[in-house]
Amino acid sequence: MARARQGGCGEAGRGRQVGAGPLDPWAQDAALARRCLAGDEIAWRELVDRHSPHVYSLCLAAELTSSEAEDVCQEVLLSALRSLRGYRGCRLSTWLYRITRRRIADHFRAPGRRDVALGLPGDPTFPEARPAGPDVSAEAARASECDRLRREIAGLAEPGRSILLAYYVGDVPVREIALDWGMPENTVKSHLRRGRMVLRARLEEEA
Amino acid sequence: MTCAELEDRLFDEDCRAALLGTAVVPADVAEHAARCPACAEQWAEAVADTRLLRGRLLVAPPPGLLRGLYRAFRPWRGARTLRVDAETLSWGIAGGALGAALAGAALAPGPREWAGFCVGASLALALVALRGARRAWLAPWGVLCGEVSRRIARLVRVV
Repeated sequence: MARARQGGCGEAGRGRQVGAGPLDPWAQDAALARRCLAGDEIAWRELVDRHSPHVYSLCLAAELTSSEAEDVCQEVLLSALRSLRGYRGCRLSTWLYRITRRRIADHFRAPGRRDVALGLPGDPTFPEARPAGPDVSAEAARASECDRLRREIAGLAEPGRSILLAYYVGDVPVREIALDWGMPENTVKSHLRRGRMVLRARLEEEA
Repeated sequence: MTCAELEDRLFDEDCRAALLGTAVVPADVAEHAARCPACAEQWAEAVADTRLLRGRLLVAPPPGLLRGLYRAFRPWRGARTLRVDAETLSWGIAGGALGAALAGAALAPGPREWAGFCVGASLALALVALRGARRAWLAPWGVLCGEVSRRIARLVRVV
């Protein structure tokens, strides 16, 4: 299979993944972007609903706090809205993943980002108390499992870690990860396979 | 399909959708897994891993954030419409000014030439507006059409 040129991920980049047709995700993404550009508010909501969890989760996986993740997620999607006209060629998830990666890097570079005061109780910046309820312990257990998994992923070596996050959290297709990293698709698949096996082994050990 | 090929297929987009349960298992994979217990087990493991990773790592953003993002669309749409109008107008003014300068540089333009220029430029600007001023390079057509129509009018007068 011929490789698509570096930096682009058009028709040639699709390979055998999904055939062209009404269910072709590339065509669906392009149609959704066109509808947004035409001023269709429902299309925008659909885009936000579909992609904001990926963007937000990528921010959390980059070890941002939840309020920082909210800020970056908002910046990413608003920036995507402003530059939607420039979107073409790849999956929307890939495009948003690239913007997210840049925004997270900018966020870490920003000098004023560290040690943001949370304020005092009653201040708007003070975190809200979660209501106590019967499912609080279950929620806490789930949160701790998620944290454990994030820690395990953070412990993986690069580029395996980034590739794993791009694929499972960013929803980026293998083909487009390969283009971004300048490596063959099979190498990306090997990283994914290895990463998954390492994670499974570590989680089983801990369990 | 061989076992190695199936292992390779696990990360393709159609298989990912099937692993997440949002699409049917591709026919070639289903056929192979049906007659190879090792690959069937591998598929089952991939289903479990994919769902575990997605389930634990994918977090829904807070509803307040979503509401803010939904609300951002209308101002953007409004600003975009205004921007397009401003773009068309500014190119129209620029086209008109340049056309007038070109006309002034030519020999004593008469009223018919000026009328030709205005009609040509207006038509070109209407075309730009109709296209939503999507491409900045469309605007110079305003100048060009104005000049061409002015020359045509001059030619008609000579004839």
